[in-house]
Amino acid sequence: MSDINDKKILIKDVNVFYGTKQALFDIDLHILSQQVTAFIGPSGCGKSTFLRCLNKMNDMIDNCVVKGSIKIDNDEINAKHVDPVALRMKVGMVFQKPNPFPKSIFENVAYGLKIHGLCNNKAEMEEIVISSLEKVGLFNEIKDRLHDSALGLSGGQQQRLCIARTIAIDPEIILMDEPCSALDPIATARIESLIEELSIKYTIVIVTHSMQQAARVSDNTAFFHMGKIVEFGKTSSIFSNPKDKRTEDYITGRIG
Amino acid sequence: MFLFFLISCILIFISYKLALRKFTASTITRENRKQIKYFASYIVLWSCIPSVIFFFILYFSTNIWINTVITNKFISSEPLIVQEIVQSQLPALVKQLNDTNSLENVDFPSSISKERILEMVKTIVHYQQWQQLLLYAIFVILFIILASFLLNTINLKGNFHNKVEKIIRVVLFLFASIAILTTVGVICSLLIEAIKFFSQIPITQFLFGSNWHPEDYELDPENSFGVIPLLSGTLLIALISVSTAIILGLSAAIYMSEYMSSKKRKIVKPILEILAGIPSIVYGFFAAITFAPFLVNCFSFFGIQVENENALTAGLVMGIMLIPFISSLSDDMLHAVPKSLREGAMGMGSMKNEMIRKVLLPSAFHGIMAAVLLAVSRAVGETMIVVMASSLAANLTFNPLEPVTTITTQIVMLIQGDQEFNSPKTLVAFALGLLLLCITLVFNIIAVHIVNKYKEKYD
Ligand SMILES: Nc1ncnc2c1ncn2[C@@H]1O[C@H](COP(=O)(O)OP(=O)(O)OP(=O)(O)O)[C@@H](O)[C@H]1O
Ligand SMILES: [Mg+2]
Repeated sequence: MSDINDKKILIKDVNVFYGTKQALFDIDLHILSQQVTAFIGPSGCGKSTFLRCLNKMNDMIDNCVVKGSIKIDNDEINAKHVDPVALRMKVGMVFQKPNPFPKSIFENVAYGLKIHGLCNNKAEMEEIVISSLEKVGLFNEIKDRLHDSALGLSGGQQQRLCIARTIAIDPEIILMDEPCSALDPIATARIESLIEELSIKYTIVIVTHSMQQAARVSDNTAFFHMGKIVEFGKTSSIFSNPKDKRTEDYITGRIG
Repeated sequence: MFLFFLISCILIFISYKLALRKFTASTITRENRKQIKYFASYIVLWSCIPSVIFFFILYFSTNIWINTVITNKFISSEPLIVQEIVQSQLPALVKQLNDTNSLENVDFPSSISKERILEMVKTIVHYQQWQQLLLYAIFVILFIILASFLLNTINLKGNFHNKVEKIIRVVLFLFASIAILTTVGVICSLLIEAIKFFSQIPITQFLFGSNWHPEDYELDPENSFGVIPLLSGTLLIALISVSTAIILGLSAAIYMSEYMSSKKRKIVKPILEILAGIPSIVYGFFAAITFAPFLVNCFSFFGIQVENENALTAGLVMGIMLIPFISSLSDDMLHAVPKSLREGAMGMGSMKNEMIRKVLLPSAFHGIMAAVLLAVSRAVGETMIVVMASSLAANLTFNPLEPVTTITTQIVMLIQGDQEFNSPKTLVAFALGLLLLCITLVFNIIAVHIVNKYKEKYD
């Protein structure tokens, strides 16, 4: 495992196009290992687009072209020959809307283990499923309905299930695209404390619209505006004395 | 009829316009603006509906009256057979007289004189002309009376939108009940004839007998109407065709919805749907002329002798016909699975096929199941392909290479040509129809059940 302050992801000159429309311009950035990095910025500025570059999810969109260099642990991922399946084992993703599969809770968490063939036997799988559920604090709540449909859970529980599903295959990086925007304040607080716990082991990148959330959970913050990174640095310094006028306006609520 | 339609349209139009006029600039306010249209509709509806109903009641009752008059005056003295003949020919005679003004070239039984017939028909025509004139007059007068009465008495402050809403509700209810009552009527008529059959042949013989020989039922009526061979044939062909359709149709659906660009999908999907629009008799030709010889050749290559008519041909060709039922609906179902689920699965590092097999198909399962059962109902009820490609021989077998026959095919054979009513050979067709209805009903109930159960589990 890499050291703290190691540059886990290194991004250089990334440009992204949807057809002829350019969504991201010359992005240069690094993501530090075992820290939480937050992306903030007004709607439509390209946060999700950028996050999706990090696990090649943009490949799924027909007209989307990603140019530039993205290195994870010094391996270039933005090349044709890179296998997205292996990459996504290493870089997990949690989405805005909780999206459990229409299967049982157990099957949801076991899904990644099964498709990647990570377990030798049933007992091992069960163990991993349970420990993943424990890590997200869900196990005690649902331990007697492990085999009920995951769609019967509350929104907050579903989102924690999705996180459990992601960490079950033991990634190194977890991308989260507005993971709390569909949740109430209490569920949000649970997820936030979970993010803090997880950042001990995982590198986390989170997109959020809530300044407070970014301030609470993140170590570093990148401010996006119109497809460009305006400012990037320690969360504490960005929020206490932003260097750019646009950042200041945004975090004080004057734009966006 | 056309005249009636025209008159009512004119009346409706005029009364609507008149009703609108009742609101003058001084009586229109912001609040009652919405009421104007509804007031007018209200007037029109309450003038129109009672008059139309009254018109039809009068029409039918006068018809009955005319008939009794004619019967009493002219034919009650004739022998029964003559009465029957004359009465059954009356509408044709009336038409003839109306069209050509004479009855020159009509043949009658010699027992009745031509003059009497002519006189009778003339009387009817005479009555009918008066009837029409009178009815139209009554209709128009009633309409006008109602409309003017309503226009003058109703004050403009009422809640007309609510009242019109209620009337519309009642009218919709009536039309819906017509649909349902027709269904009930169809089932009842089927039931009555079937019961006639079962009074001659015991129902157990019908349901559990394994000999189907309606052509020589006179020798052994008890053992000629066993439906088991037909049932097995029907199910065999349905099984072959639905399996074919599931394999081909579902693959097509998955390919269309997951691997094709939306542009190509928009072209390919309608092309597949054309398959559903081809009349089944055309598939029948294809099966009998093209596909059957091909299949026979294929099997003879492997040294297996197959007859030209067999269950496999019919099943496979019917399967092709059923493809769009499954592909089109399943494609819609797959497409309706939210993008977030696909992204979730892909984000976990699934291959596309894993995503499809483990996430998409289970999510779309209930829709696909409904499509399959729809196809089953269609397969069970399909007739022409089997008539042409399989046979009329009722073999009790599950070997797809042998000829089998189905329920629908047999119904066609039974009610073709000259039939004697009340002979079990004809009546059994209704019993078969009833059986077919029950089978389809069972499949539909299962479909609803599965869909509901699945929804409960995953919604
Ligand atoms: N599939 C797509 N096809 C074409 N354009 C797209 C697509 N997805 C996003 N865009 C465009 O790219 C730009 C950036 O979108 P993106 O979703 O990354 O914004 P965002 O910062 O995540 O916004 P939000 O905060 O609202 O989620 C937007 O202008 C958007 O319209
Ligand atoms: Mg976004």
